[in-house]
Amino acid sequence: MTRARLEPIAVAAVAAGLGLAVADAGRRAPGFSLAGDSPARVALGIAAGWTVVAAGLALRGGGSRAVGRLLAAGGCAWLAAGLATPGARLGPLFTLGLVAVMLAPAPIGWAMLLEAGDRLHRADRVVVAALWPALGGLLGLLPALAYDPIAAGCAECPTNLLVLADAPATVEGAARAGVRLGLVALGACIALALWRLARASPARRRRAWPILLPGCAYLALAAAQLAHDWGRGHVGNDPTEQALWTAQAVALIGIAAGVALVRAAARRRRSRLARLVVELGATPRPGGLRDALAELLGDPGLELLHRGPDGWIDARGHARVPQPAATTTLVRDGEPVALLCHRPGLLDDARVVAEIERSVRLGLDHERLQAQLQQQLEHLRRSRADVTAASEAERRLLERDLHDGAQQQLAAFTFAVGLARSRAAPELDDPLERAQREAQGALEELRELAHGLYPVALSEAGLAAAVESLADRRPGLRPLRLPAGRFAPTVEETAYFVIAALADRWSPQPVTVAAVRDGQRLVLDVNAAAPAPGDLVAIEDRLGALDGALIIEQPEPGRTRVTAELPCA
Amino acid sequence: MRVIVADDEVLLREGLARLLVEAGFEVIGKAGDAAELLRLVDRRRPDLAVVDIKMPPTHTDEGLAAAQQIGERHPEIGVLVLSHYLEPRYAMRLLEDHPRGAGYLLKDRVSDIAVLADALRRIGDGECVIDPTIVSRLVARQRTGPLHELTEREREVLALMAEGHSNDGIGERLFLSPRTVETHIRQIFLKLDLRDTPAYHRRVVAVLTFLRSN
Repeated sequence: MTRARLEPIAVAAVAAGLGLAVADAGRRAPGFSLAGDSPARVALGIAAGWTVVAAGLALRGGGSRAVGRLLAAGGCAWLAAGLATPGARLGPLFTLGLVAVMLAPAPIGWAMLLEAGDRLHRADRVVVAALWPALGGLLGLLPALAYDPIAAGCAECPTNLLVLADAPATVEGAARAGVRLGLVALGACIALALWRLARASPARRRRAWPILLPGCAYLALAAAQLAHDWGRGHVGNDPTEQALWTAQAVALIGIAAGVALVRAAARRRRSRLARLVVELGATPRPGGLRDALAELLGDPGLELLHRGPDGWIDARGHARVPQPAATTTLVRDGEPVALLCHRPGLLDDARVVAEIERSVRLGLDHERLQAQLQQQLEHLRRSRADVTAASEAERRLLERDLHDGAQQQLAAFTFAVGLARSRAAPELDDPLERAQREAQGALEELRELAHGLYPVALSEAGLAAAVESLADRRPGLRPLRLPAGRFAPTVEETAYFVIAALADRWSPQPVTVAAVRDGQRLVLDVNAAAPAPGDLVAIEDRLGALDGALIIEQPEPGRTRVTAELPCA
Repeated sequence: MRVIVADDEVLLREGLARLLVEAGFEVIGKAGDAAELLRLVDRRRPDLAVVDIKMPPTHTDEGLAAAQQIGERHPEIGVLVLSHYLEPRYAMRLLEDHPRGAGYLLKDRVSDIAVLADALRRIGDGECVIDPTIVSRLVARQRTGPLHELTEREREVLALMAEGHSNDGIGERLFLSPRTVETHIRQIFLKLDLRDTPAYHRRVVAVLTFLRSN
């Protein structure tokens, strides 16, 4: 069996044994302990010890190992203190009781400082360093070394195994110093713990107060007991002390109740998270996890970013730079998998963060993969748009080269032939005229080629002019309604490409073209009295590069309607 | 007639100048861009300017802009814009900016000296001349609007009018008597609602209506 599983069993066994021993001692010598002679108060004391030990064990499993251990130790010390009576059956138990008689506030005070601040700061360490020697040393071990119960007149008392010599003066001196130092240390401990609680983030405060407030109450009652003993110089057993002891037992049970409250809240949060996982599993949509977490944690501005190949991305795959102020990384196997950007202080509790990571693991994986896919798609779309833009620029350049080069030179050639014709002998007129006509024919073809590469009307006058110009060249193409306004060049080029490509596929069938601006979209409506053309991949690609879409319908047999939508904001 | 030629391509500028001289025109200046053309026009006051549509610096529509400025400063000077672009809207813009004595021809068209001389003379007379290829494309368009009301014959007459033909020329081409041509033209003006337009301007407005229609 591993140590981790053995430890709680051992602790529980010790606590059970101590409790039984206390019950036994109370029965054998009623009235000697602080519980007095009431069996009910003895039972209350045992119950207080046991519940605190149980709370410590519960916390141990719930993520704050150190606080849990200290609470368990405090519970055991509280139980052991009840053995410093003549009723203790054995010498070792009696001796343990003598040492632990005021010990319990030391581990519990330490636990409260840890609970309030997560780790011991310098001031905390000073306080803890004072608590142990005061409560365990000056009020416990040192008197035990110098106290011989037989010599002090307690004939029924078991043997004090630690006694070196009977030195009442030493006992008294140590106790007097212990009361003073212990009171100061406890006061400082309470003040520090409450101060840290007040300064903690809302989330941490919400989680810590159910434990810290009864804990501090217990420490305050212990301090009150020491204050009561201040004049006398040692711990006694008068009615006031007995009353304070009873209150301490109640406060200890309060600590256990606080732990139970915190655990219940955590369980509630976990079950809400679990429900969330189920809901997300049923309806996965980008950003759903963020919305759910925002609601769960009560931060509407919460952002959830995922790990992308080269940085953080949101659920839609857009690269994001998180604000460094308030972020929490969700880590799995040492690797950051997600980043929460939230209100400052919302998630400075490592336990909650670990819980979130555990609970949303599946949803997180799902959404991260989706986001990465989206990002890749976005890259792909962008590169497709880049390729399209580059090829369009290339065509425009070619058109211009053709115009400024071949067309001009050929025109100059026709001028020269025209001049030659007017000067040449009549018998040369025929061949020269033929040359002129052929050059004119070539020019006409070049003009159409240039127009096909890039219609000058598109860049200079927009989509409507370019489609009109196309209709002049393509018999049967009839523009119906076309928007007079201008759009972004990429939008105009894509819309023209789609119309020209469809008109070409359907040539020579009659085709009607309409285009309207519908809010943020340009909608093309191309109709033909013909079946749908086969390969529309190139058209879909061009539209896809701009996030557009193509819909092909067949309103009746032998008629096709193609609707193309592209964003034009 | 005295002519100024403007084209940034030296081969075309010189070729055109020689064609013009051959056709009996006097070339009194040659310009490589619009600014130079406007300076020359201001100084030499030609009867006509033959202008390339694309010239430095932007190579888009400098020729049309120059035609508009010439029309504003010297409305009596005719402008012939030469182009490689078969675009009715260029012709339309030219006529709107320079309604008296303007022409828009494709470059390959003017290598025929007879065509060039005829077009320039008609522009000199204050008429407007649109390239027959553009006109025939416009005729082929399916029409809506005022031109829809014209008869087939009237549309033919209007198309020839747009190409810059005189009444006699139209009559010759359609085998009609001058009187019949005049009747058709009166009907066209009536149907296009041009009765209140000054007589010298009616033909241009009718042609513009023709160009605008689609």
